[in-house]
Amino acid sequence: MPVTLAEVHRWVHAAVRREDALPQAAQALGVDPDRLAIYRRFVRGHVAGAVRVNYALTAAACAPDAFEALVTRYVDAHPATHWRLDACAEAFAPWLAEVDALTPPQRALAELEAALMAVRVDPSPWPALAPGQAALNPTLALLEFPYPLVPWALALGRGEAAPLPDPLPSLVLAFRRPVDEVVTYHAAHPDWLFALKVIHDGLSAHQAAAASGQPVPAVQRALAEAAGIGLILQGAPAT
Amino acid sequence: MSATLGFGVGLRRAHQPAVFDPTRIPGVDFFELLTENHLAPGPGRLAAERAAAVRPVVLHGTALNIGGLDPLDPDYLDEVAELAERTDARWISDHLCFSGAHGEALHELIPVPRTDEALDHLSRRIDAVRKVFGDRPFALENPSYYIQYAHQPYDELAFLCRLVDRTGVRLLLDVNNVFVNCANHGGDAQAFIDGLPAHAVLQVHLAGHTDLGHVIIDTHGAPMIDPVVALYQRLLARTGPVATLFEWDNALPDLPTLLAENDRARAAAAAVLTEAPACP
Repeated sequence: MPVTLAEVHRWVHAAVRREDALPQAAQALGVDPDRLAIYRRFVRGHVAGAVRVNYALTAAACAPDAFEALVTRYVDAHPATHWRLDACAEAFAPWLAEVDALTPPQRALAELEAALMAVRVDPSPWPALAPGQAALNPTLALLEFPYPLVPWALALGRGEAAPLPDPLPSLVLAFRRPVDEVVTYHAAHPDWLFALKVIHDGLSAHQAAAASGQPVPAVQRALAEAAGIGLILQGAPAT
Repeated sequence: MSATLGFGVGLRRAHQPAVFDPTRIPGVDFFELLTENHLAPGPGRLAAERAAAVRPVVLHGTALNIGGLDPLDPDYLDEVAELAERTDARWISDHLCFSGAHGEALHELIPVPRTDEALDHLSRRIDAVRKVFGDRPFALENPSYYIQYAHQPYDELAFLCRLVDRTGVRLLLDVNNVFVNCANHGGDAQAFIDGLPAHAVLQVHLAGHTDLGHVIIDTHGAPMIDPVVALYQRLLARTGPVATLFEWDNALPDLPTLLAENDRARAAAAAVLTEAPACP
């Protein structure tokens, strides 16, 4: 009797999910178990690869063997359920907390990387701005962490052996750059937070200066700087 | 001369932004976009739009799950159709396989059993997909496969022919996969090429593979080997000019190396075609 679609799906799925099901699945399907194992490696490798790519900083902050052991456990617990491959890595940071793996700063770093993944696929449309109009970057996420993650993350990204940071509450601004849609993040500078509030509240530079007691040029400078890094979007000047 | 897009390469992040400069992609007539890399907002979508502004594009997906038993994902289909519209994609393709089961996305191309039940199932789902994609041509690729289920009533060629007869689906014929499958399972690659419904071939894939000794893996990580080039030429002798894409996904080379392989495909085609393949 030819094998049915339902049987193929059931046995291939079992072989991919459970190593101990592989010999039985191979027998039921009439296939070489070593060849069936190729698919098991591929399927699991895709999820593991997505975790490695999206949590590269967290991996750099861990002993390699320890990180790989966590990835293997995560792949066992979290099969991919979405056609977007990266989506299967989104639950890695909360899972680390759930299983109490890694140190608190390492888990916080993983949460930052999970947040960056969310910013990468934020569906907010870019606003159409008239000349002179300004708006907040719609992909902007203001993130709060109990550790100063940005300098640590930057050091890890440069391949430096950086020690775990001491606790210190910090704000991180993560967003896609409007010019090339690349995700970037910065430690929140007070001037940038001020600029964001000015735009959020719809104030002119003069109104913001009056409200904050700062000179107008200082407000304009903060706004220009925030626009320069992509936190604020500005309508193109009229030609 | 039939209408053909000519010779293309896959759009890969490592080659951006150079590939958006027409002067740096001589011989590249079109881009193939890996559909799932360009659906979400962000750099992937932006890259798709930039590519489409430079050359015609075609979409090639891996997540359709045409052979799956889970329902087709209407959101996914709508997003693919929208991307095709936005980039004016000339056609949309995916693989003749299942890539999900029991609510899980396997992100792998698992072969469907070659049975009448599968033919019925695929026919229904191809119809459903074409309703969403409208007039835009839709093609399925013959995937590489490493397992052969027992007691299948059809061999791969007979199954493909029946599927084309029943549904009119177009084929994205991966010549390297024909070579790999025949090597792995003991088939005659030349007879496979000779028996294909040539009229259905919409696009060709060429690629390199990795021979592990006991099995050949379709890695897309090397130049194509001469026997694959010979099969390609044998196919062209039957089909005439066909849009041809060289796939290179792993151990991605620099752009000039990729373009050299694209040129190699063009030269191979020119050697057997009486007319030069068309460019846009």
